[in-house]
Amino acid sequence: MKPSHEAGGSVHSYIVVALVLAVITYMEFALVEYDFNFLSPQAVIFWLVLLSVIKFALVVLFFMHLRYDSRILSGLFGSGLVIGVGMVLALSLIFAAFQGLSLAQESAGGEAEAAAEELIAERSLLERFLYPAPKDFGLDVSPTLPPPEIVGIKGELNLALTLPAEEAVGSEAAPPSEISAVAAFDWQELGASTYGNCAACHQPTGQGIPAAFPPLAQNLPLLYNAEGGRAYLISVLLYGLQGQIDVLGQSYSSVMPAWQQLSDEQIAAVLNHSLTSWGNDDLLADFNAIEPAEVAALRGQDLGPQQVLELRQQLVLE
Amino acid sequence: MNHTAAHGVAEPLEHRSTNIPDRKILMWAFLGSDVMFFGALIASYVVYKGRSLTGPYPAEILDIPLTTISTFVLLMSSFLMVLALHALRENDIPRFRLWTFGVCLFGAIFLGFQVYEFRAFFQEGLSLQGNLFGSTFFLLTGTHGVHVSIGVLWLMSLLIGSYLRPIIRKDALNLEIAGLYWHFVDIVWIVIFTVVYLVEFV
Repeated sequence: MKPSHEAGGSVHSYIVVALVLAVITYMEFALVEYDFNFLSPQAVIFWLVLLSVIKFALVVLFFMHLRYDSRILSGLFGSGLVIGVGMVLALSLIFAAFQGLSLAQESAGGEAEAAAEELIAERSLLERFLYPAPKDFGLDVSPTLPPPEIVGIKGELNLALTLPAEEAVGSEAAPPSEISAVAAFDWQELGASTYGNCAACHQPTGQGIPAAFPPLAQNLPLLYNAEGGRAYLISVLLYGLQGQIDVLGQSYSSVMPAWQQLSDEQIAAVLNHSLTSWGNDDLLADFNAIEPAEVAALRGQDLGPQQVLELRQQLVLE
Repeated sequence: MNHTAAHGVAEPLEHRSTNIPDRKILMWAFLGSDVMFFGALIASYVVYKGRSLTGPYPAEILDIPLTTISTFVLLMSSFLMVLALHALRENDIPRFRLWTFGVCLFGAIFLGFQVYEFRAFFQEGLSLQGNLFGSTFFLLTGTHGVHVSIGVLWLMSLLIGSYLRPIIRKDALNLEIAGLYWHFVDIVWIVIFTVVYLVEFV
């Protein structure tokens, strides 16, 4: 009996396979590099995938001898291949579906969002009329007004955990004060859920990752206390930040992406959340919660991340 | 050639129900699992494709002519690999050494292209933590580069070993298994070349 791995491989067949591989590689290069006007982009992708599948199969069947080898080996490799390809396809589908869902929700929620924004703008005007310098927002929990609709629309897309237990404790602990409750921008819950976007880099503890992502704990109060720091913090969220910065004695040069896709309420809420978490509230000189209207006022400046860096360099930090 | 088993230098295939050397089955099982490993890395590249919030973006920095050459080099190293195994089975030791050296050389050239590419990309501002493209690209191609490096070291050790001790029939099995690994590294690159590089420019 002749061992299976001795069969099927002649130098002649190897040369033919190698030539075919070389020609296919050149065809792939040509498909991408030269214009084939008669081919649609979909057709080009189809051919590219087909050609690489042929290359893949040629190497596996002839160079790796699977064509002549035991079926056990094909089964071992094939099952891994099926699972691997299935994983790529499944993940692609899940991500595509998820993106489609969020787009649909955004367009469906457009009107409700506009109405909610109007409501919030009104409330903040009323609130500013009644309380020019509101204090102790942390204790004001609105017992009468439900959170604006926008919370539900965007909040569902955030992967962050919102803790209903915490909410319940909050509303029990805070005695409902009649007028201030109507006026307050209720950012607690929205801030905590929006922070889910930030936690991947800045960590749930606000400590960041040394040398990669700067901490928010201890750092934000320094920025907030500086003159112009309030607007700077909002600008970082709206326009991102790029370039080397020093934070608490450590140098960072990662990129902070812009978060313009968040609503004014979400940006104000997440800033208030971060400014009052992780012991930051003890370091604030005089905390007035950031209002959605302030965020709205800074939108539309079209700053770049480098310009935000310049804003930062103008801050006088203690 | 199975009669050489009687001399006690070959693996006694007769004792196995599968009639396949254990280590060869092991290598194929490993390759099956490695497909899933690369599947995860390719999937992470694909699902985050086009979602980088900041540049540099793939179409700005990927270089198709350069990568086509390095792809060609890797494919031809696979060709030399089968020639090396064929020569060893034919007991043509000088050719076996020549082709195996060729595989190592081509593998090293491919790695040289990759080092050059990584350096150029890094100077353009692409980094592991800068954006999603950088993270997924360097993770995927970097892992592949590590596989290529292991393959080069493995084949070099077989080449050096052929000078240090007499060549026995078992060496053909060793070379065949190393060759399977080498071809696998090649087919992974075939997929990466299409998914990461070519499709970007359609």
